[in-house]
Amino acid sequence: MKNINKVKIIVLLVIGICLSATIGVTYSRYQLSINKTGSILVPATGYCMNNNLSLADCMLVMDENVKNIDEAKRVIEAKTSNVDTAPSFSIVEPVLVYATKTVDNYTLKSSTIMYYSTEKPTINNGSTNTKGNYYWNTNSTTSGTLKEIYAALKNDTENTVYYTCNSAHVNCNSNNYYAIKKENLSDKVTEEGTITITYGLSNVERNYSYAVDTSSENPGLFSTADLNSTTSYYYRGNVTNNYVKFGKEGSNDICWRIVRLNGDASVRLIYSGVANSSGVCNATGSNTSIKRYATSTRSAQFNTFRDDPSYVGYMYSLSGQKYMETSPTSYLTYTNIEATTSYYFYQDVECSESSKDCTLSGSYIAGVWGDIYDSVINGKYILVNNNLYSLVDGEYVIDENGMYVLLDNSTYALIDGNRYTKTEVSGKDIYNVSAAGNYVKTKPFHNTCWTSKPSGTTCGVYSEVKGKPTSNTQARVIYKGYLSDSVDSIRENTTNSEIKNIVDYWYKNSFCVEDGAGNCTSVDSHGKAYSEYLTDSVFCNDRSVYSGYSPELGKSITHTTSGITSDDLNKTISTLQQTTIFWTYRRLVNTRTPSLLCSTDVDTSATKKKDLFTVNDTINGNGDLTYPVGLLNEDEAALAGGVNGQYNIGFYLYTGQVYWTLSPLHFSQFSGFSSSWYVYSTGNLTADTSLYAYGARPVINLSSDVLVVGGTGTQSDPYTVSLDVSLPE
Amino acid sequence: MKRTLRPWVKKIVPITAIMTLFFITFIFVEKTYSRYLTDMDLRYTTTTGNIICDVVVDTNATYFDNNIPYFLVKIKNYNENNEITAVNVDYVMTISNVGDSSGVYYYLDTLGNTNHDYESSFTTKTYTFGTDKQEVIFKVYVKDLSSDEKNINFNVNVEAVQKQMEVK
Repeated sequence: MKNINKVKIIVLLVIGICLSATIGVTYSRYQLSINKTGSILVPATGYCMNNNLSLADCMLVMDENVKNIDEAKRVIEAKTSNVDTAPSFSIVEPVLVYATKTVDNYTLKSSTIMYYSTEKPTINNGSTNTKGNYYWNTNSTTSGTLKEIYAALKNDTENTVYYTCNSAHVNCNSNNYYAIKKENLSDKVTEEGTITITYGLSNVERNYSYAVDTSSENPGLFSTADLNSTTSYYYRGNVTNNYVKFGKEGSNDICWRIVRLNGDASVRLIYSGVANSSGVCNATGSNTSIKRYATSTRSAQFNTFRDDPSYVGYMYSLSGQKYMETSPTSYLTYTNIEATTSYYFYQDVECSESSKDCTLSGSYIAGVWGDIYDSVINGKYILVNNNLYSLVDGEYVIDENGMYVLLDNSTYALIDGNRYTKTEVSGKDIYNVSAAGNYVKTKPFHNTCWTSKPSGTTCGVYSEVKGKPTSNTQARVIYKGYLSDSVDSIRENTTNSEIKNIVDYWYKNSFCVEDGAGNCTSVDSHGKAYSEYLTDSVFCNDRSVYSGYSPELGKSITHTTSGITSDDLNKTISTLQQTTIFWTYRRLVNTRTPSLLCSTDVDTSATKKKDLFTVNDTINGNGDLTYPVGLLNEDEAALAGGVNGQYNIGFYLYTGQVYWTLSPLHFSQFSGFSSSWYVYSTGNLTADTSLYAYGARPVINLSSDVLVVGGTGTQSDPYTVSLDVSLPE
Repeated sequence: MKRTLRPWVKKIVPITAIMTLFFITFIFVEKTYSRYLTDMDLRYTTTTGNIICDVVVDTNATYFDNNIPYFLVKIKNYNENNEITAVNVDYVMTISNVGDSSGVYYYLDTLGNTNHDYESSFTTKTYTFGTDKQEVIFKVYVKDLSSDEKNINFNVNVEAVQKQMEVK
């Protein structure tokens, strides 16, 4: 009996084991556990300091952990030329991933036709310049105004949601989209304006893209050709080990980011504010730019004027300015009008050969271009007692509202010696001077500097307005005024730009703290002036022209030889250069090939390299600088990971602020303005007219002899440097 | 002296054995078969088959970003014979120190996911492979808090399971 029980137990156990094994085998088909081990060598911190490396050598060694300098260079150059690791300048580095944020109860306003669909747009994280934009994958989009969308949705019975990007792009192609839901629909669509109606719809859900993270990173040093057949090693991407503390602002250490090892072996740094009390540097924020002179404002105009190609220069000359006009028959389109801004338009103008500018004068009207363009182009209607009168200067004036015909008091219009009672009869532009009669027109108010203040009536180039396209932000114009006539003349470097004055002021008063004899008094712990750390390396302000109406500014222009009279204004004296595009535009927009090979064009003496700014070196540069300090150029920003038209919050030059670079974009026929490149607050590389005030981040070049004496190069532990470590502390 | 089992012991042994087997069977069968059995009422469908999940750890002395060394982990749903997994697979990866290594790790994958900060060990979120050829590369940065050059030993563990069935 006992044996029988034992047998039973054994049998059951065997069955159990078999069953467990079977189940285990079965389960293993659906679950997998993999273990792998490895090891990695983590280098010592403080390697550069411990081995007395120069900052230049430290950069190279630490990038790839290759201790031999030449070998480190070889590895970096190999990385740059390898198709798998070579930088692509068509996409930002690092590549960003985007997400959507939603804002409820948004009021959408629009006066234009937009596309909409019942399909929600999806975000594009691709590798083109449309990253972060929304797209429809459907072809079933419909176009209409906001009012029409409202009407369609109001009659809907199925709680349909309409999605629109408020965009004329059939595929959306915008970093915003809007969801309009019937359940949230407001009672009505609002309408504003008369000639152009702006519709408004409240309770709309707004969605917009923002960068959340990176999908790939490849930060570090890469190589590229530099001037004089040398090689430069530049930082690119989300670099976090290029912080340096060097120099003082007051008692605070100045922070810098290393941009590159220049071809001449100096190390280029860009200003990044001052370290806080814990020694931590800024990476972003307005403090990464210097103050404007002695103010607390951290923004600077590139130049205080913009209506000449000269104003793209870090230094410039107006010596080549001549009076010119664009074609009297083929009008250009001015596109820089703000739809809601009130502009002033004058009947008369006088240009001065001595001051090289034009002053608008006589009667004027003011208003939003979309409302008053007819009066500007054709003159203003006046109703005059069944008689036709032509109003002449001296018989009337326009008040500060720009709308009323007045002379000796505010009640009457005096026309041909007679007083007429004035009452408004129809709209803003028509006035009933008497009880009934004919409408007559004033002279047109053709002339404007596109300013919104009556005091801004003098400009180098003004617009004679001749017509209006459909858009309320455009006008057909003839440009008239004084413009530089050649690329050579604008590069004579006789006058400082506003931003150079501001950078020089900072250098003289904050970095160097110059004494009365012109010596720098700001010194390191060894008593050595910080200015002695710097080299006279070149700063590139590449003003070579890629294209224009003619390849070179002014090539097809003939000029007046005498002063301008009012009669001259009615004649075509010369042909004004149309849009002039500088080479940086070609490299960064068209071909996506940033380069450090700045223009080496020489002046008429054939000795001076006009665009290579140096202090004393007239062999490699122009010797036109006052101090060895300048700005970054946009090619360097592109090498660092920025791309025109793409956000980049990940690369080390992103600060969340806008700051100027040295690179010119163009002189535009569409705006009549010169424009220079900047790094935008989104990290996008783009440009604006030189008149605007943005950040200024000085750039200096440290000698190749400067040694690392501390730090690891991180934001919280920047490299500290010294020219001579043998001297006692 | 020969011992004899008491009567209740004689009964309890087989009962216990049977209950143990039942318990084991219940646990495993529930886990296993709930993943792929067809249930006509709920209309679950799935394909059964072997998981293929390959892991490659790539260390190289030149792998450095910002002075920080890193290694790559490539997780694939196909093997060296180019055979692709027949079933959808969920997987997670865990990186941890081996022995007395004191490394801290930060990862970034090709999809933009990260653990946001350096940690002495981490487990990723759950990733999913479909049945078309796929791979994800993890870039794992390694730091050590000591000031000396140091060799860090690490373990890469990948746990993969057949993805839960989908209701149709």
